[in-house]
Amino acid sequence: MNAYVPILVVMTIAVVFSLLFLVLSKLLGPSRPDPEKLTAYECGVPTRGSTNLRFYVRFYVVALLFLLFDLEAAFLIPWAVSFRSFVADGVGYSMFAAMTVFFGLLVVGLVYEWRKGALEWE
Amino acid sequence: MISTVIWCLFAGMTVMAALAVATSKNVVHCGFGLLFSLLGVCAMYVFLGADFLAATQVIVYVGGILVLILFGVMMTHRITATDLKSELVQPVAALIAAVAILVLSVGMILEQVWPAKEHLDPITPTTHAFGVSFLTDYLFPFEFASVLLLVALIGAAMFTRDSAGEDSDHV
Amino acid sequence: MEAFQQMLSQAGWAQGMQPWALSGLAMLFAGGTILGGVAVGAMFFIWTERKVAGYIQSRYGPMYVGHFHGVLQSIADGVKLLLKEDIWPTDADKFLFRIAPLLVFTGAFLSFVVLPFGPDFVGASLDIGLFYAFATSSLVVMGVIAAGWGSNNKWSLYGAMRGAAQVISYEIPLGLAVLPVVMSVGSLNLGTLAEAQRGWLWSWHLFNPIFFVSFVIYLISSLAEVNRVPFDLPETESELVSGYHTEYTGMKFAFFFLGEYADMFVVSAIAVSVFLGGWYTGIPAVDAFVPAPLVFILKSVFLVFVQIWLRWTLPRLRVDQLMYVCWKVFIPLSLANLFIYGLIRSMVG
Repeated sequence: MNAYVPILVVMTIAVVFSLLFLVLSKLLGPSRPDPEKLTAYECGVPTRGSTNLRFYVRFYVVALLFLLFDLEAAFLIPWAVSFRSFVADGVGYSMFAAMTVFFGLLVVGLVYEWRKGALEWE
Repeated sequence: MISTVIWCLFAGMTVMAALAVATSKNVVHCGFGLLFSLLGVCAMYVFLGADFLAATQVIVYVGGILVLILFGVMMTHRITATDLKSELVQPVAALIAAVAILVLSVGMILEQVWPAKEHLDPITPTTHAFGVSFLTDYLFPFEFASVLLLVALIGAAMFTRDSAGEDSDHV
Repeated sequence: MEAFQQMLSQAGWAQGMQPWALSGLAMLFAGGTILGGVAVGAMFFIWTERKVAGYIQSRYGPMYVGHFHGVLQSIADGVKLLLKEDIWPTDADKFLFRIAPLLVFTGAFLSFVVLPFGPDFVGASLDIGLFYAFATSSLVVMGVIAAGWGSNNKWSLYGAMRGAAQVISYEIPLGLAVLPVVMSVGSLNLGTLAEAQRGWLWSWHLFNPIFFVSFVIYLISSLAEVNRVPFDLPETESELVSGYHTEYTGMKFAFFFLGEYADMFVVSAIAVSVFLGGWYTGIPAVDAFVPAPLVFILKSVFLVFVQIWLRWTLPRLRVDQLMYVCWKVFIPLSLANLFIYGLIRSMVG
């Protein structure tokens, strides 16, 4: 538990500090709003259309692929951490073979994505 | 004593944020409510001494799933104007189901003997233990997980192929 | 933190304090030092950026404030930003617009806790240090999306989507690139990773051919992770005005700025502790009398300088090139690197 207390302290300091400065700037800065100033700045010309844009579907696919590879990484990391002790115990080879199966399927998935054009962004 | 107060703060944050997710009318706000709820759960993991799980929680759920949800939301039209009401409203059935679930969960919580400790041990590294058990006791589920991920990857590839012909804004 | 605790326990006025109060005070001091360090460091980097940019483009950069080469320019800018009007664009999402700079700043700030400035100079020596540092960047991603969505500005939203997609994409090669080193040391603790490079210069991980490939992948991916040139597509001042922080003014903008420069330092410091020998100078005899934090900070500042140098030298990539480099070059390369390292280690032992 103790090792995590500094994180809490630093988080508190960060939030308090940033709120303090936001309040300070609110107090010190002028406030002279006018409708022209408050419009969205899009190259200086009056804005057109709605902000509800439709996004290129690739963004969604990238997020999806990231999620899957992230999960793979979450499995790979504990293996990488224990790998040294496996090698020291003389079972490095079999543990590597076990990982190769996992790894191989990941590579098959990546190759499939590549061939199907899921990694293209045109 | 202090740690109990901090625990309560995080637990409160988790529950309040979850409530905000359920009640907010704005889908993007729901997403950000979920962010704070997930961070609260991460803090719970830290309290339980599960350090690897806590980091995975943030990386996979916040960095992965939440971003995916928000990207999905942003691909749809008219987010703020959407009325999230269902056509079919059955208050009686909903109430019965909700009360039944509440009774069941409370019953389970009371029934279970929780292995609670007076004082939490200092965190012992869990990552190495995960690595060892992945490749020994849980080798089959571990390898099976990669099959599952492969299936998901193939599904993702299908998703792009279907939409390849659709015209959309190139950003 | 340990260093602060030691200093306090030797100080006269702190004698007779309860141990919990002592460690609490040490933590507050450490936190305050980190905060001050981040603020001053970021200001220094902003000044450096402008001076380096100036010299690369055959001009001077800031020259007046503070008399000597405009050293106080950043402080003047900070005061100016503090005194500026806080503009809330029409129809901005109040909640998201407000929390976005906080998320970006807190995310960047939190990763400082695990950086090993020296054997005793680390905020929290976590066993999952490296993984934790990656986790904090998820907060930054959420902050970027909140800024883009909350601003009610099309360019902000485009910038935010690009930024989020880019940061999450490059997080994969970044994570995979450091794995061979993790396999060799058997820990995710940044301090332990640095400790493993004690001794002469060639014991640094940089000088192992496989780790060298990792280092190159890490260095380039980290540029994308902090949205720097050649990967500054979320900002692209020539097309998106200023990307996701277009609508931000005054102090809120300052937090985005601080966060960006703090993040540059964090990725550099991680590179230093994983690949460049951490706080070791590479000559055992020198290590004995050179203060560890100084070595660590100098190395990290050098990498920040490299990032600045690249920014004013390279052109910007296109979005498709960015994604191509990540998914078709770095990810296969880092996977192959990981596989080869595993194969060699499991055969040779």
